Amino acid sequence: MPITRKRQIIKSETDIIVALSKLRTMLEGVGFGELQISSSVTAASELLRNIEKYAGSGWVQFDVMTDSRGPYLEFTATDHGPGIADPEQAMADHFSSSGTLGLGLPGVKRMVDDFTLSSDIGVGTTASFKLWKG
Amino acid sequence: MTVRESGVMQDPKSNNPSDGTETAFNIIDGRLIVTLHPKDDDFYFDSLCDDVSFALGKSGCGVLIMDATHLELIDDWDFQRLRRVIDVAALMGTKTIIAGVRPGVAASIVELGCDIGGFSTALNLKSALRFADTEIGP
Amino acid sequence: MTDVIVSSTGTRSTTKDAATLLKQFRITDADLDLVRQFGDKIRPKIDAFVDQFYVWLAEQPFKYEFFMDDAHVQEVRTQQTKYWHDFFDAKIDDDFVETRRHIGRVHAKIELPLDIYMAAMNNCLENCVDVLMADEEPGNERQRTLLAIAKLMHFDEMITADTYSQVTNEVMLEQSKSMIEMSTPVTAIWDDILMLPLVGIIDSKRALDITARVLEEIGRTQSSCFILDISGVAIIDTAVANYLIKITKACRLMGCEPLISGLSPAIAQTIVNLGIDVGTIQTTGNLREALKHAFDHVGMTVTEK
Ligand SMILES: Nc1ncnc2c1ncn2[C@@H]1O[C@H](COP(=O)(O)OP(=O)(O)OP(=O)(O)O)[C@@H](O)[C@H]1O
Ligand SMILES: [Mg+2]
Repeated sequence: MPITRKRQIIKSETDIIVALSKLRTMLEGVGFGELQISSSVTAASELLRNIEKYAGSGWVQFDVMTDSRGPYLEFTATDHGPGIADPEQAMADHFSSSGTLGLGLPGVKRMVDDFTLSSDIGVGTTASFKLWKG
Repeated sequence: MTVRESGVMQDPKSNNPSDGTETAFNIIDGRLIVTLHPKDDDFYFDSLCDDVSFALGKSGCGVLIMDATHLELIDDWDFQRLRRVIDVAALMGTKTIIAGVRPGVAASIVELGCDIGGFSTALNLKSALRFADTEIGP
Repeated sequence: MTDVIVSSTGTRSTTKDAATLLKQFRITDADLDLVRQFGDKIRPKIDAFVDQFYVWLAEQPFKYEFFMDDAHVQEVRTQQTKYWHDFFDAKIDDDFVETRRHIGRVHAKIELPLDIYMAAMNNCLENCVDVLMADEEPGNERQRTLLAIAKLMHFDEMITADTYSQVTNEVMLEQSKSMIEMSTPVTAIWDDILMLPLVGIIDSKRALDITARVLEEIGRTQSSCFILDISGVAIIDTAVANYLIKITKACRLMGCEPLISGLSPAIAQTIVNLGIDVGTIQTTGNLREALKHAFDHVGMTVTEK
């Protein structure tokens, strides 16, 4: 059962900042710990910055849900950008097509519980993850 | 610490080391000090490596201090030349200190993603000499 | 221009009353009469028009679907139907203007893009034309009615859009203001020791600004140690980490030793999880430790009296 739900268009750095602060407020509201919040918000930041950087625009949706393991964050970021030619390569440490650290996607994978990345060339990219509170 | 003028070495390229357009070489306390100038021709950084290695070989200095106070701009190419000087000096057993790098130059070097290992830095010539005394020794 | 007020925030805003606005849009009583008369014909069809709009909306790229959150669709529909009834009642007074301003504010609040709103207006205009064309009235009369409807629609759109942009600008201004307020000056806390407590969110623009200021200050004061306290920074992701690494590298190049303090346990773990190599940058958990390092670096010891 969804406790809260937020959806937002991402087309600028300001949108990212707004989305991240909404996310933080939401997680604080349901009593996530500092590490979970830090991991969630950082992971979210990585995915949204990638949207802004590589696709130009996209949108984000996040809910706090509850299952037998307790409350968890469900986060999805989608864009209709160029897509990722080689997702496996993109998930590797230090791979970057823009000369930055190349740690975003692999970092997200290390920080969250269920990370999925699906991408089609010319269609777009969807990245989602879950992170349990407990 | 004493800063003592122990003789000005003859510039390998010029008879007049103080005319400000050529690289000035000085030796203070057994440290070879090179004052970098804004490049006014493309050969400046190119010939720098030859000049410095020649001066190092002749003087036997164990410390090379490059004073960058007068450098206001640097590009990828220039920095590659400087790197060569540092690498050649290292092979000759000389430690390099770069002194007085200006804010804009520091920012460009970082933005260019240059390799900034293998040398020490100092705020200015004075602290470079002090650093050489305390951290490297005579 | 007298009809546009530039407020202190720099945002354009229409604060004129209904009468002034009507005059500005050259909407006469005769126009309003025509709209009302036409309204009698179109009113029974409004429900169908609204339905049609949702069919159109469903055909749009899926990213628009979320504005019509299931729970709210019914509510939005009711509002939309009322909107058109109000429109064809054509009673344009200050209350009407205020209602339209309210709609603009609501749209801005739920971040409904203006293109959706404009498309909905356009849809309605098309429907009106269809109804008019099927009408028995003489051509001249129909054209005058169409003109009156178009004028009133532009009038309506202007108020809504203007309020919308006003609210959006205010939000943006608020955000940039809090960003600017967050930037604390680089201060020399001791001879040779500079410090900058970073607070808030670091974006690319701010990162550049901070780097430039820090480097300038090192050059000016010839400080040999710089403490960057990040305990107030909301997020350290790879991009921010990259900025921090760049700042510290540039500091080093200038001959100034950088220290990063205030890494909370959560942030420290996040940085490790991201896989960021902070290299040889000296980091500490709190400012106190950083100060100790700094004093040590500049060759001072702090002793109790
Ligand atoms: N939404 C996206 N659309 C298209 N390509 C993407 C997208 N997200 C990531 N990529 C590709 O995957 C690569 C790896 O992404 P990742 O976030 O791991 O590193 P980065 O963005 O290059 O650097 P960093 O995030 O460390 O600053 C990117 O360089 C880019 O080529
Ligand atoms: Mg990235």
